[in-house]
Amino acid sequence: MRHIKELFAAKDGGKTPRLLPLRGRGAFNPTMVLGIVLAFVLTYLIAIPVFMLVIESVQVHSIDAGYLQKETGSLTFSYFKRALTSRVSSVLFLDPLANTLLIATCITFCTTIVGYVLAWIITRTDIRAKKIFATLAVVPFMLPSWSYAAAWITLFKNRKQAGAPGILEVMGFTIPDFLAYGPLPIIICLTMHYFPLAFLMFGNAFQRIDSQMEESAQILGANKLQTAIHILLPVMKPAIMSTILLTFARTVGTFGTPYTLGRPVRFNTLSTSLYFTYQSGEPGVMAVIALAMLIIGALLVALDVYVLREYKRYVTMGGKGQMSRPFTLGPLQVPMNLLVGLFLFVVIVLPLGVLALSTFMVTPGWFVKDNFTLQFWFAEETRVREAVPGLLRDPQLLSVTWTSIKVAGIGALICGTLGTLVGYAVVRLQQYRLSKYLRHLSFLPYLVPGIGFGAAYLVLFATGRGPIPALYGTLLLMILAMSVMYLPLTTRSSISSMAQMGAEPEEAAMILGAGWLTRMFRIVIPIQKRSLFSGMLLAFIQGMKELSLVIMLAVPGLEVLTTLSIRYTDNALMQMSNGVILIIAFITFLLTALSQRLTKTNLAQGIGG
Amino acid sequence: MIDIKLEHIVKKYGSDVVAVDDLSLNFEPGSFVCLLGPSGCGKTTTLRMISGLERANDGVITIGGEIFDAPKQNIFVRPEHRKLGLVFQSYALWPHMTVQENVEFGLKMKKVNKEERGRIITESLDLLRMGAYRRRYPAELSGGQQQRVALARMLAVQPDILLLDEPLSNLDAALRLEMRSELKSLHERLGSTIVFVTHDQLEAMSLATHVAVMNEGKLEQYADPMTIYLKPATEFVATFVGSPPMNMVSLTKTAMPKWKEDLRTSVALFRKLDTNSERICKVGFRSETVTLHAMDDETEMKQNQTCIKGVVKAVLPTGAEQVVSVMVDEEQFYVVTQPTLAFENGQMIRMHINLDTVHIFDQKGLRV
Repeated sequence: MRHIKELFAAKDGGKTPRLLPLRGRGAFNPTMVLGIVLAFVLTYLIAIPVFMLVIESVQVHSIDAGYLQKETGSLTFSYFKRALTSRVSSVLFLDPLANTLLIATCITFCTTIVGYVLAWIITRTDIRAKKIFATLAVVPFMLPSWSYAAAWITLFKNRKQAGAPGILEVMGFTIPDFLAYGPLPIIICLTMHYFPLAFLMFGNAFQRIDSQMEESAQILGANKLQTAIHILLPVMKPAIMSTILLTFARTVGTFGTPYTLGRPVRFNTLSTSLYFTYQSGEPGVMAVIALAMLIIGALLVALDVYVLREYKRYVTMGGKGQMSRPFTLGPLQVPMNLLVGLFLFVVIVLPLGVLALSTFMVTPGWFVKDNFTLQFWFAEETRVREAVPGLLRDPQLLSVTWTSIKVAGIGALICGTLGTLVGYAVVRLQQYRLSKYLRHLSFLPYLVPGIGFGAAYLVLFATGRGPIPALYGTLLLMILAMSVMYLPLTTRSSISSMAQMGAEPEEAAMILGAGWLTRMFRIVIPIQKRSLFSGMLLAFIQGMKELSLVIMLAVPGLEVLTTLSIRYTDNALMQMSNGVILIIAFITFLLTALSQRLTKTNLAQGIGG
Repeated sequence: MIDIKLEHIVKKYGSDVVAVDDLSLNFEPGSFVCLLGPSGCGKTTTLRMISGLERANDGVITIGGEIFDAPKQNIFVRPEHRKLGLVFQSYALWPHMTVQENVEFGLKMKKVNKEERGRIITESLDLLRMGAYRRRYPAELSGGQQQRVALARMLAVQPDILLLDEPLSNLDAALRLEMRSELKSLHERLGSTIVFVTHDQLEAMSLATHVAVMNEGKLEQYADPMTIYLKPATEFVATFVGSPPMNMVSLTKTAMPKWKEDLRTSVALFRKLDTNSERICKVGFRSETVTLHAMDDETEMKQNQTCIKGVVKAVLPTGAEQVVSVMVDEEQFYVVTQPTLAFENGQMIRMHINLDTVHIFDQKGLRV
């Protein structure tokens, strides 16, 4: 919960909300009813899918019934054996597990360092143009996660792989495999994508730390280094731990980047291995892999709870009368500005530039006049591959964009509504166990790897169960998955703003004779409008660029922009794939600008401002 | 015991914000000095320059005969080498350390050995009656207790000078009173030089041996508390110190009502000044130097008194006394009387003002 709060720097008013629902003779409590309904809904949407995954991994599937000589649906451990101890286990599971842990550890390490240093420079020194830098530093997170992989491959791809070579090869360089594909570029690309998360969390933490704590140490004889080690670092520890856990969870679940950069050299992670086992029709092994990812997620959640409790004794300290005195850079001010500017150029302008440039060249990297072209955007039929129209002439693109907007938009709406209701129930039912249950359950998707969650949804809704029909291959399933995946975002911001609002506005309406529904629609929702809206917009933006979750749920005929881009990559249509990424980036930027205009807030707000 | 000397100190932020403007002050060894002024007057900046957390743009800061900050001569002693203590308004305790560890930190930095550290920690925590809380974290303490730990943390290193930046403003009224007497007795026991920043004039009056009143980066007056109260050097000091604030009447010459003309004449005569003197710009008198009389009251005006007639607007009893607000034309005066005197709203009234306690200020706001 701390994470989200830090992400949005929402300040908890510290008010303990009074217990609004009157308990007494014959008092019907609509909030309680709401809480119970929500508990059922969330259990079905979050807890049951995970449970189904367990069943799926130990149950004989119909396609394996003949070969395992067991009846469909009977108990088996052969999938676990296949993943863990068979001859193919290293290919299917063990190597991907090791690779996943390796890259997740490296990326977490790198993003933490980069985010920490950048946040320190922007919040704590007298560097110029802080606001601009702070806003720009969040941009990489607004891009689809594998944009960097796409830009990388456009630049570094070598001739050993099918399709057009990368820009540098065309220009005459020879790119070795280790630089073009595999762990090194994956780590670099994902660091570029995920460092803004760390930056945001550290930036907000730095902003809230009373700089007088450091000054006290200095007065008592500590030098700058001693102050940094003994005071600043320990005080930042809770923020550092949350950042590490969150980044780790995100990288374990990420799919696009390892898929793009790992596949050419058979460098598999759990996410790509899960995808391939699904593609090759091994649902049992897929369930085992997904389960492993969920277990990693569960471990992270447990660790988070533990860490939170450990730090509770001192994270609650609020600084009063704090003032931030910037660290004077002196003669380093100009070089530092240049350095940060250069860094942001490399992580924003360069990759977007490479992607954009490639879409205007028949052979990217071959700088002659005839090689430049507008066909990938505007041709009725591109010369490179027949029967493929340019992106903006493609009726399919329009319908896919529309699907994307529908999935992300309706998902965000459901997510926002559900989040607000959960937030309301959690705050108002605080004295009941139910509140805790709702809070923890709605938080679960936060640290659960996206593709593992997608797999769980696939399993749960592949066939009809009871009154619920099979939803596999429907728009509804994508929307559902999306709204649950981003539920933590809206729930957390709703909880903190509900707590901040307190019970008084509602109590005043109650005294004036307003019923529960009237209070909900005339008091609570209007007051919460802004936080609700910004929460939904954020979910929408995230949804537009989501790949890991939907890659499992997309089927031919039901695609979104992100899966379309991956399909173009599969077909070695690099320019088209890059074009789609740019379209996604364009839409998310547009939405971000819109949300900033409408809500007058931005993600990096307060940092450097 | 150590003295502090500030000579022509200037501190600017950016190019045009002047926080402290040509400030010169001398703090005697063992004195308890209070920097008093409204927020933004430069008092905290002054304190931070003494501590070394902030560097002056011009001037010389000398502590114990040694130059600590002199931009012109390129001398600057870093805060960690100054041997002072500084307690912040927010206390700034380190939340990840227990009370004991908070106090121990400064001793570790000074490389005091372990046994000695243990002894000093016990001593300084006991001094502030916090011995029982040494294993607690700051978040588990009340505001007043945090305040004591912040003090103990600085006292443990036995600083030559103790600097306090509004240390009591985050405490509730009862606790503030308690901490005030605690600070005063602490000063008497330790005998060290203490510099104290506050915007609360009552705090300054009750604690300090010397008060420096500051406004807009400049020193208005530096004297002992009673002189500040009885002989304010400027109009600013007169209105800033005292509660209720000093009654001020503007006596600029154009189109004055009769009561102002009379006031001007009687003040000028009493002080043997020219009635038309340009220097009589404003006169002020404290609310306790006035007596109130009903119109039918036979009490004669004394030789050294003058009279203004007004109307009672409101009576505000405080228990021990009562503040009566009196309107004369559009101007409001406050008078402190005994609580037994009964006045009604709208009642016509006479104010007898003691002329020997009337303060006169000239065009520049300086005392005449």
